[in-house]
Amino acid sequence: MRNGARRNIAAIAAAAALGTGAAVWAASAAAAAAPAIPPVCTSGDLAVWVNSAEGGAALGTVYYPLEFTNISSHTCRSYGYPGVSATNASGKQLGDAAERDSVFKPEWVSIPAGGTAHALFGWEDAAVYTEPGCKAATASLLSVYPPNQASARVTFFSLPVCTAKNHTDLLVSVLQPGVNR
Amino acid sequence: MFKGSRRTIAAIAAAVGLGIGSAVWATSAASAAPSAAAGSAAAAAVPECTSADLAVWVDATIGNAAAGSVYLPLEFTNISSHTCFLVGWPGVFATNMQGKVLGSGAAREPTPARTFVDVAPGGTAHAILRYVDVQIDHTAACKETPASLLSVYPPDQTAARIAFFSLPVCTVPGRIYLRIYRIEAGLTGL
Repeated sequence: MRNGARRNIAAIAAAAALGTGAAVWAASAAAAAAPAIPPVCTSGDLAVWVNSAEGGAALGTVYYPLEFTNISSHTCRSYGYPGVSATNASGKQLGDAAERDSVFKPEWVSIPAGGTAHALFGWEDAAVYTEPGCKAATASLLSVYPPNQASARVTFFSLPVCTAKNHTDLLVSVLQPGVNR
Repeated sequence: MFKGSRRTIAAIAAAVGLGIGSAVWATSAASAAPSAAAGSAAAAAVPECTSADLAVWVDATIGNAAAGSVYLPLEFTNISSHTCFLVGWPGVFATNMQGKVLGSGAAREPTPARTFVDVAPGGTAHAILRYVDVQIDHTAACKETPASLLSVYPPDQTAARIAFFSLPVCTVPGRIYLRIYRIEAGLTGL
């Protein structure tokens, strides 16, 4: 445990770095001018990662939060489904892209600078391990297109996937607020 | 029946191998806004981050290639509901999918200076991870193999967190192919 001024300073700095003020743009009536609607998050604004610390196993599927961290210096917002496919280390796509899972309704998600939003990402181990003709191979990366973006971000992903077409083994939902805990 | 047991085994293997906690994703969909608690918690003492407070990940998009090395941010995101601090070096090991450590763990680099870093809920701190690709080859001194995961011990913690990491590594102990720098504030120093 630590106490004292330097910790308070650090807390203030952290709050500033995380854009606490900007995060509440929808409600910040105290601002002199009407708060601007944040721009749509571009691929360059975001780092994408699979949160393997918070996976949850359901029957035949392991669900992970697929995280979108705002690495820019401004709040941005995003809406809808990311595009997700598994690739080898060279970036060659393996099998089909992730199928959309309509478990959540789409909503505008505001991500402050330094903050994180997430989508539900499902890896169907049952399909990979039991479906005939799947031709499983270990992936190296996920190629992730943030909603409404034409360029992909890559992240490490080292689970087996089907390389044959027409084997649904990956699922993805719309973006949701927060890291998910 | 073979199909069924195979499926169960796969699910268990995945759950064990990836260090899945008790929380089921679907029941925890509601999440707080990042850093919302930072201000109100200012008067309280800040505890050191435990492994359970953190998700650990490698930012593969910001890799900075130098001669013989790639510098990657190893990120520590606070998934708890309270501010916590990090200080010093994490312990970092590459493993296969079963969690078997491959070769030697990351060697410590004596920079930057030791700094207490407060991480607000939803916020992220980082340490630079240097992946020394020039060390990795098919010689007997390295015995290259692909890694699947990093096993990461936050400073002063005895439980590891797992992050996906699919790069080739050496399996011969003593061949140092990873180097880790001290934890710094924010998402990246690259």
